[in-house]
Amino acid sequence: MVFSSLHFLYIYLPVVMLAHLLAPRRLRNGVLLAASLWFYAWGEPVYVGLMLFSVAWNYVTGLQLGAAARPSRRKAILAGAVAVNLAVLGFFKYYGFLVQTLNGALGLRLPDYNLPLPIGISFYTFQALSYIIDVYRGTTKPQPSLVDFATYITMFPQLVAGPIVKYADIEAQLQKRRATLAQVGQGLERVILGLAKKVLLANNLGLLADAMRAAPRLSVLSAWLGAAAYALQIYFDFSGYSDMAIGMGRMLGFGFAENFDYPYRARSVTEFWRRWHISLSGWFRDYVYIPLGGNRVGIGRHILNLLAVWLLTGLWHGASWNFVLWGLYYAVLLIAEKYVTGRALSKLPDGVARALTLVLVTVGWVIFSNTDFSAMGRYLGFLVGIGAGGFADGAFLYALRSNALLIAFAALCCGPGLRQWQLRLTGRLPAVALVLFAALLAACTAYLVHGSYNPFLYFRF
Amino acid sequence: MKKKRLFFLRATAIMVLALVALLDIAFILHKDRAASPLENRNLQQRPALTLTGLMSGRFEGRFDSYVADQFPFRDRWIALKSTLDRLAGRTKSNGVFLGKDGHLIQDFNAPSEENYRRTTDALARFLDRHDDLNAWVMVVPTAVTVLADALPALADAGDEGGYIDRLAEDLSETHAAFIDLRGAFARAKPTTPLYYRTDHHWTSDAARLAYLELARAAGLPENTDAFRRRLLSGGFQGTLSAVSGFRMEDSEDLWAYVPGDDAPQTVVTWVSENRRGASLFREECLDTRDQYAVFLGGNFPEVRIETTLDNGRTLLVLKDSYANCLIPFLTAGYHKIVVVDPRYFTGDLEVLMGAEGVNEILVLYNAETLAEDTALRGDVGES
Repeated sequence: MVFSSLHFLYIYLPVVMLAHLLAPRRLRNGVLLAASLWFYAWGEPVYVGLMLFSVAWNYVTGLQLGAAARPSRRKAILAGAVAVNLAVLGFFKYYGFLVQTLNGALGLRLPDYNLPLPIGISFYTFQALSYIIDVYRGTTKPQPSLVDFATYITMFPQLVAGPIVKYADIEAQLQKRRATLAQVGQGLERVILGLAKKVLLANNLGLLADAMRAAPRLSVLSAWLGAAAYALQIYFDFSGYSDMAIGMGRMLGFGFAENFDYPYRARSVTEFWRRWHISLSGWFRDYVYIPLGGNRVGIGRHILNLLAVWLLTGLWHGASWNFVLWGLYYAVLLIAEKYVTGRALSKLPDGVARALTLVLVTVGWVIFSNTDFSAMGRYLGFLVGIGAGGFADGAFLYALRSNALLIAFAALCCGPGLRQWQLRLTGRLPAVALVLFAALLAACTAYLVHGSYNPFLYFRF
Repeated sequence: MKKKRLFFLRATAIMVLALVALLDIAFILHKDRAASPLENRNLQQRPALTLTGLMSGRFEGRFDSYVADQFPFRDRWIALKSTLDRLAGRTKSNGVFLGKDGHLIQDFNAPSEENYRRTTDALARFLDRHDDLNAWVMVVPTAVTVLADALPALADAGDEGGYIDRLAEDLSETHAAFIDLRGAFARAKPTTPLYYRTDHHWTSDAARLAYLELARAAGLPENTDAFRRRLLSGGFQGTLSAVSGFRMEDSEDLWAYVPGDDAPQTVVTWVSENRRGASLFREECLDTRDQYAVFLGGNFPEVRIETTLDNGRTLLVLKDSYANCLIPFLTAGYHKIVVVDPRYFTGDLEVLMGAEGVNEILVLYNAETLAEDTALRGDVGES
């Protein structure tokens, strides 16, 4: 199921929220678990089995770790658990990629099963790993209840697109949580804002980005407009989903950590990654980067650590070479900022540093969004005028005119100003804010209903 | 401020709950619609729950469509979305421009080089093969060319004029005469509505002008005095509004030139339907959303029109829907007209031409359809 569907918003969510609210306290996790499994099974029931296997395996492993005292035994259990989790993730997410690469490079004929990617597997595997490692480290006690543990792994708000919730953050709330009317309202406020980001901003920006990417030839400005539209699209798409997840968590009585902190206001690429998909960069920091020694090592080793982390970060985003390239692109930028350009960058005026960072990030998204390297090369060429249809053209002017308001508003939403204004408004003129939110919900509903608008094109005949 | 914020949060919870409950109650109470006339398609009905359907994901997909298709006040939501798009400054939707003076204008999509070559070469060879028959090619410019000044500001429309020029040039090697309507349309534009505002078709007045151009070239009556201009509908809502979502409330007049008492009598045979009638118009179509289908009843693989005019002239028309409102004028000059729509025709064209004794050929398309067409070249015998 996806959040931005009428079925989810108008049927699934109200039913589940009411059931959760009305259920006796000791059954709440059971209700939430059943709802989450239903959510996950919708459209692709087969992989529920895989997720349940992951839940059961990690649950048992957690208990074993809790019971084992000998360090060598604990280490063995941990190694086994990590290996199984990574093997499952590796097989379902990377097997096809690996086989195609090997077949291509070595002329082999290994079978490619063309398995569809189990939704959310990257997210729930990482959650499970964080739990297992924390239990191993002794920072977290193992969860004795299978239902509670399964509730944590499968919880529907964050199941398919994050944020990656650390077990320790919601351990207490799994046992005891309450959702007041005001909390439900606060959650809904966040859900509506996230929905609007996704449906009103991201989807419409996506139309522009797609149109530019599909054009056989672009002027330089058109290419930049398309790339900027994609950068805005992916931000509002992803952060909108995170907002909705955080909002729904709040309605259920959970406090999920923030996942985005106005990333496009970053003054450097280093800062960008402190503000973008925070739960993922935090995961890699805690479970890969720091265990490798972080930056408390020699320069050579530090560079190696960064390369390793960013290679993995790239691969995590998708099983394709362009994601590897995208990760390495960031590794190079981060190493450069650390050892070469960092000091100069910090002396630049804010505006210049931000603009520079934005350009680098936008180019990064071009790499990210093109799994086909020749298309990527072509588009990157357009950006600097190679093969482009002039510097500006009619298509650019028309696209700009048609999307100027959208882009201006989206740009405004990239900073904290509008959100601060909205919070002040709700505190001063609540009635006005209420009308505004009703209108926002109505607008989102209109766009979602229109998504099913499918006039049969008999006009061609 | 804290207190007001708390009020806002609680009120939000209650408001959203109330809105969702209201819509859900409406969803449960209202009767499911079978079809959407606006979209010209059947709407998803409540799917039956089966284990295999559920496990394969088919049920889920259909259920999601069902909720969307049967969402209460669906058409209102769609209109709201279009209004918001317009407010945001969008002037193009699904390939349709929101033009000035209420004109909706379909963009022109240039054909791929391969598509252009294959169609043009096949057509040229077909005409060469029949160089003993008089032939005319009429590729009608659409509103995007003729009404270019009504396009929204800065609109970056496809180059239809360039396409027509190239086609005329490439077909000039054949013996067929290319009839270019752009001059006549430019002259008539200030006084005559040439295109519907909500539909991609030309008006009957535009078709009349085109007939007069053809008449000069083909030696047909150079007037249309035998026909009377008649209002068929005051509530025509074209397909461009449905396709784009713009101006969905607008409707306009639909005029036709119907044969008067002096016009030859006709017998019309819809061959594939095995149906015969005396009229070139099917007025029952005026009760449907697709009112333009009143002309010849819409598009059929093969329609044969025989007239009381005994001059031995038999015309083959290879056409799209633009021809449907021009064909009535042709009855004043032909004994027999064989109308073939290559998009639906599956027979052998050469056999048909021989059997019907065709001795003249007219190829009549609008530029947009011909540019996108992939059927004509097969029927004219692409090798």
